[in-house]
Amino acid sequence: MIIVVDVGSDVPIYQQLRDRVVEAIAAGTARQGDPLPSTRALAADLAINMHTVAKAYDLLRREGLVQLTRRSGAVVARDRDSGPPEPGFVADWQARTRVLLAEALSHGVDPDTVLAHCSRLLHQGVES
Amino acid sequence: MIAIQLAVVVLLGSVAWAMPSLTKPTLPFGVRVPPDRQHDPAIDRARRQYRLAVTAVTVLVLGVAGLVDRTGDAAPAALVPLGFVLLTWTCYYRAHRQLRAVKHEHAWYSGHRQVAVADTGLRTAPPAYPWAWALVPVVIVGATLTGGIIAYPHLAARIPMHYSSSGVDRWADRTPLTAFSGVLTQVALTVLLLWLCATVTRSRPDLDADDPAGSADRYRRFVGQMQRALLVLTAAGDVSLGAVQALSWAGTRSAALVTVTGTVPTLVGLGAVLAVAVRAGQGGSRLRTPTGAPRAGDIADRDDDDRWYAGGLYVNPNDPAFLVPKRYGIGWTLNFAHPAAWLLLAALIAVPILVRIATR
Repeated sequence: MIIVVDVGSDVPIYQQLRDRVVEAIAAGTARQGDPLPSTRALAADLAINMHTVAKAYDLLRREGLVQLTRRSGAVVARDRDSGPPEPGFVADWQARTRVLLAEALSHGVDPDTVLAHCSRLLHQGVES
Repeated sequence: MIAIQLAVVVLLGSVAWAMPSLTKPTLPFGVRVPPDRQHDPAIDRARRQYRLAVTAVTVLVLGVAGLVDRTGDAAPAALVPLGFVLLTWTCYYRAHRQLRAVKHEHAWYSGHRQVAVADTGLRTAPPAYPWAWALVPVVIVGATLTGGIIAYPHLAARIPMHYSSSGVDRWADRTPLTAFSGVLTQVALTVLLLWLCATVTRSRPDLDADDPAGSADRYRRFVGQMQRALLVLTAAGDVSLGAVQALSWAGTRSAALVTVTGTVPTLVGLGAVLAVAVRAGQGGSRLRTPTGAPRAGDIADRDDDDRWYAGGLYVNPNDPAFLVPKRYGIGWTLNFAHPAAWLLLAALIAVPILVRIATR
């Protein structure tokens, strides 16, 4: 998995890290059971603070996407083939989608364009 | 003696001359530049001026070395390589300052997205340690040790410990420590380099923002080749030390014989490291890989110039890495904000001093 973080971005780096891992799971480049680097190793590779990586991993753990164990470190906990989502996930995700779609509409993006974009992303497995 | 010195100066001069072609194209003279600036005329100009200066310095130093040799004085002769290294470093530093100024003046980084890139595969499936190659130096040390144990009862009461141009200038009474000082040095060298080979796989690669997958692939191959070259150097160094140790057990008085057996194998080992450096370039930047293709656009490696001091000293307390790729040169350097870097430096200085005190 290649992780690219934009250090000049307004989006905090821990959030970017979390987003890149979620995208990698969606694209199939990270599968259930795949190990992730230790917080120290990933922080060293990106020349960022260890706490930033720890924060991203903790976020992913709370979302149920990553399992943190003392013995084997961070491991991808689920992927697209791991069965239906946890109860409550869909409702929460729908609420966030509402805001995202509202942004598009309020900026005058045509609904058909929005749909076409979403369908293209879904077919690519949301790979950039 | 003068022939060896002149050869060393010519070799170092050639390495200094070639270095701008061996480093990453986006790190000319240790200055981080965006990919779309790597062919800027200012960089070409700096490179031309640098090479002209290095050539002039090499010719000058060769001339001075020749003059010093005529006086027959050994002390200034030892300063020739040191002076040469200082002068070529000045050539580099001048080019470094010059490029940094141009980069700031013309705001090369404005309008670029600065990113940091990591390949998690390098951590979760790191390159395998070349155990078979590591076995060779271990066997050489073992053979020297065994030979010494067999020969020990038959050794003379006094053993030559140090040579100068006129012959042996320091003798010591035969004790296990004095008789095995060369073996002790072999063990220290071997342990250090075997450990270094294991550590470099964990060091941070300097991946390209515009070609993460391709540069990760090149870095993997670079690490593999460099580890093997370092292990060849370890084996060669052990052969040098072992041969000199055997000569001292035999009570050899000829300094010339000791100098030749002590340097030739090590030079062959250095040749292996140099060959990989020239072929692969820093971080594998000269290797060609089928995977990956440079992405055009506004993306650039993070501008980390302000973490590097005097053109090559890395100090970043926020970076958990202690071994990082050199900016200008081949291989790795230390993060001097990391305690482990100072521990390693202390060990490097302490071990030879301890070996010397123990064998006095």
